[in-house]
Formats: sequence, C-alpha cells, structure tokens
Amino acid sequence: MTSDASLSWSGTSAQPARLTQSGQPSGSGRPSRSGQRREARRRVPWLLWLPGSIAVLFLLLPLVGLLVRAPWSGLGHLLSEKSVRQALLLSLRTSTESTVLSVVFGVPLSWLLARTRFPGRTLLRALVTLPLVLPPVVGGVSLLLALGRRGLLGERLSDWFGFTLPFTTNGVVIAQTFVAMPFLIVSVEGALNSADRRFEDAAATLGADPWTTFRRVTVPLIAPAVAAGTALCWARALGEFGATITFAGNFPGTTQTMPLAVYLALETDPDAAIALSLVLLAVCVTVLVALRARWLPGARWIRRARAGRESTTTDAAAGPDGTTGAGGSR
Amino acid sequence: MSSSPPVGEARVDPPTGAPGGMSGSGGEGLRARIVVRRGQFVLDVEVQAAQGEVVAVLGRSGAGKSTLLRTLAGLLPLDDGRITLAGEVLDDPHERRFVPSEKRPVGVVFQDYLLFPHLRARDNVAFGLRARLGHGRRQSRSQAESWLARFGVGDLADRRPAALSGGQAQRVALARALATQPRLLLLDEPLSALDTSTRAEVRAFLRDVLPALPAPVLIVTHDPVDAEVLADRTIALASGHKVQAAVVTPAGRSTDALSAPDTTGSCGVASTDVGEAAAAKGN
Repeated sequence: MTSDASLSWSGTSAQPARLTQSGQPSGSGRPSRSGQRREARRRVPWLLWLPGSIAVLFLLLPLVGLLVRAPWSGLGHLLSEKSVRQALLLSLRTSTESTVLSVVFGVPLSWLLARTRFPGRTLLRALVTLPLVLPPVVGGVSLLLALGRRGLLGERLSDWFGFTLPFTTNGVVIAQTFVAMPFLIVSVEGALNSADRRFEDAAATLGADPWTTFRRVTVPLIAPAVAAGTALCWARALGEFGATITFAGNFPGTTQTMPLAVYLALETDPDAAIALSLVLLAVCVTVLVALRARWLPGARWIRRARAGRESTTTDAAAGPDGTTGAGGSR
Repeated sequence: MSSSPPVGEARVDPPTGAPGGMSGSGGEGLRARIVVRRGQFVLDVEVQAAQGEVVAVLGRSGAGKSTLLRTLAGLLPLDDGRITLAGEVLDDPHERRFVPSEKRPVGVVFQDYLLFPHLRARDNVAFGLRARLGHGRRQSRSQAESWLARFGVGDLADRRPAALSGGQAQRVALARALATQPRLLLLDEPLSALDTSTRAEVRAFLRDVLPALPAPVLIVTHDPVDAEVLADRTIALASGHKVQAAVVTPAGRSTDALSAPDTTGSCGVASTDVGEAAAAKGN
C-alpha cells in the first residue's frame, strides 16, 4: 500500500529519467506514449500485500491505541504539572546538548573515516558504530565502568578535578551522546562516500587548503545528510532510556528525562504516562515531517543538480527527443 | 566528434607563439617529464609548453590523458620525472619535492566544469580569488563579476550552475580558473560535455580566447578536430606514451607528417589521420 502510493506519487512528478530507473523495474519494455507516464496496474501477489498490510497494522495499531486512550480532557492539567514540565525541559535540553556534541565530534570523525586511509580504519568504523546495535543498557554499564566514580577514567576525573559524571545531568548528556552519535556518523559518512570528490579536487586547484575545502565545499554539499543525521541523532537522544537510567539514574529534575518519566508514571499514574507519551509522539512526528518536507533550502539545488546531471546523461544516451530509455543508472 | 564543422577557412588569428619559439623560452613555461605507474599501465611522456602556446594532448580514453592532467594539477604525485613551471619545481620525486594542488599556480577547467552547485556563478569565480589570492569577500565578488563580464556571462552572475547551459557553464568555469591568475591553464575535454550545436560556438570562443592568454595552455581531448582547431601543437598519446608529436601550423598542415598541399581545407581529416595513426602505432 505504501509503496504503491509512493510509486504513483513519483509517477506524477516531473522527473521522467528517475521514474524510468526506479519506477519501472522490469517487463515494461513498451516505450510510454506521450509525456505522461503511468504505472502499469499489475496484479500484486497476495503473498506480498497480505504480510505488508499486517505490518502496517502492527506498526500503526499502538499509535491508534495511544490516541484513542489518551485522556484528552485532562491533558492540559496533566501537562501543566511541574514534574512533567521538568522532565520535558530536561529532555529537550539534554538531547539538544547531546546532538551538539555529536555534530562537533561526529562530523570530523565521519570525514576521517570517509576521506583518509589508515590501518584499522574498517575496524574503527565498526567499533564506533557499535552503539547502534549494542543494547543501551550495556552501553550504560560500560559507561559506568569507564566514567563511573571507580571507573577507568572516571576515578581520575573525580580525584584530580572533583568532577563526576554518573547520576548527574551531564551524565545524561554523555549517555545520550554515546547512543545517538553513531546515527549521525553513519548518515554523514554515507553522504561523504557518495559525494562527488572531484568537487574537492576543483576546490584544491582553486587554491583552497583542505580545511577551506571542507568548510566551503564538502559541508555544503552534504548539508542535507548532515541535517537528516542531526535530526535522527536528536530523536534518538530524546528517546534514550536504557543507557540513561543505568548511567545517570532517575532523579526528578536532574536526570529524569521524558522516557524515564513515562516509565515511572506508568506504575503510578497511567494517564500521565499516556500524556507524556503523546508529547514525545508529537515531537517525533514534527521532526519526521520536517525531514520529509526537506525544509532545508540547500536540498533544492542538490536535487536540481542531480536532475541536471541525469538529464545530460540521458540526452547523451538517447538523443534530444529522449525516446529511448534513460541512460546509465547511477 | 561526429560533426566536423568547416574550420579550415574559419580560423582568424594565428597564435602568438610560432612553433619555432617554443623550445627557446622553455624556462618561462611548462617543462615536464611525467612518469606514473599503476600496475601494468605506465604513463611516460614529456610535455613542454611555452608562454602563449596552446598544446593539445590527444588520445583515446585509457591513453593516460586524465592521469597526465592530474599530475600537472597536483592532484596526483609523480612516480618519476619532474615538473617545472616558470622555473619553479612543482614535482620531483628524486628531490622529494611536491607542491600540492592548492599551492600550484595551475588553473583547471574540468570536463564537466565542476562548478560548485551550491554557489552562484559569481561566488564560484570568487572562490578562487579568496582562496588563492586571499582577497576579501567584497573585492573577490566585484572582480568575479568583471571576469564573468569579460567572457560574456556577466548577466548570469546570480545564477546557480544548475541554471546554466553547457556553454554558459564552460565560460564560468574558464573565468573561475583564470581568475586565480594561473601560470598554466589545463582544459580537460573542454567540449565533450556539450551538444553538437553548442560545441561549435564554444570551440570558436575558446579559439579566440586561449591564444591570448598570458600562460601556456594544455588541452586534453579525444577529438582530433578540437586539437586541430584549438592548439598550436598536438601531442598524441596512446597507452601512456607519446606516439607522435605533430606541430600543426595555422594552415592546417602537419609539418612532421609532410602532408601533401592538397589537403588544405580538409585539415580536420588530416589531423584525424595523425591521431588514428598514432593510436594504431601505440597498439
């Protein structure tokens, strides 16, 4: 259902080249008459649409449940409670700080992974993206062992600077960064790998040193991916539960973020838990919509440039009238 | 390359540097022996270009043209040989000297121009002025505009590259490369990204502009017609080696090939023969 919708959506869009590449996978050898291209209505095997529909139901049903059972009338009252406001503000603050840390340290690391060659690079990439698959609780335990009061580095921090991380708000930020940064790294490194490196060559021949090239050419070129990765990272930090509760605990006002508050409220005040969940849902939907809408001004020229490149290759392969199919698939 | 417009009679200005003058003033221009090894493939070629001279490097794909261009641009270090430009050593593995791309006074017009898609035409040109010459933002922009105007695209300064035609992008790319005041200009397949009608126009434009430049120009192309029309001299390259150095006079005769005088007016064909013969000899 979803894929069908997206196909017909791209069918009405004004990018014939891309449509032929992605939209008509096989069998449709007929050249389409006129400029208007429609998907051939083909029978969809029930072995595909049935499980697909079940998946949709499975994914949407909990959300429906949340919306149906939400205490809409008392919502304002519930959300105006101090503890809720505290948790929400703490969550927004810590996840934003985690995201800033992730960008400041993660984007350079992505660049190193994508643009330099050194022994052990593949291993390093696997290690730094490990938190993607690691159970967050394990992440929290590891953080305790490294940065806890008796941890590898934590003991030094505590002894020398009187600085402790676990069970503090900074600890929340650390736990969230640990879990969320890999999302940004993966997203940005992927974009760097697929970006046309010859633009960087061009910048070098114009006298730009590597740092200037990075700042004025590379980053603008991958800006949409950085934005997407940042949003993902932020959403992941916002929802972080396991590592946070393990490493930072669950103290209202200092380390009790929204997910922790939801979990706690579920035992004492289910209505409050639902209300808090609704808030988190709203925040995430907002992020998702913003991503889909590609609110970035930068995304437009990149798509246009890509479309332009595709149309040139198509022209070269098919001639100006473009009756033959699209050229090389990239 | 399917079309070969009649160029024999269309040539207007003979290039400033006569073929005889090239070897004498070598210290001023480019002198290079370029050796790059990549597995089985070996590029080993000598290139010289004097001030005001336009030299074409002609060869099929895989002949090593792009590698040659990248070594000169500083994007690829030599394995052996030496590159000097205006008396300065840019690359010499034996002396352990390698001037990186951003420090070389070499301008490049890339095959598909590689104008930065996120910058307007003006800022594309200003990019080099800021990065290489260290000019301020405002000064760079106004200079960029005058460069664009010089190449007849001053009214397109606000356009992004995606909104430029092939011929327009070519002019912007040329302005961008020349604005940094290079002492060597490299053009990589300057006409291959253009459709047939634009190609003739841009070819004529380049033929007017290139000989007037104060720096030697090296054009890499697979098209004998382009080499013939644009260059004073052609180096044919096959499988990484120079197979024939043809000095093409403005009249269209290859001096070393001693072509018969009756080929006047069909110089495109004559030079094609040179190229084909060269390629055949290489294989």
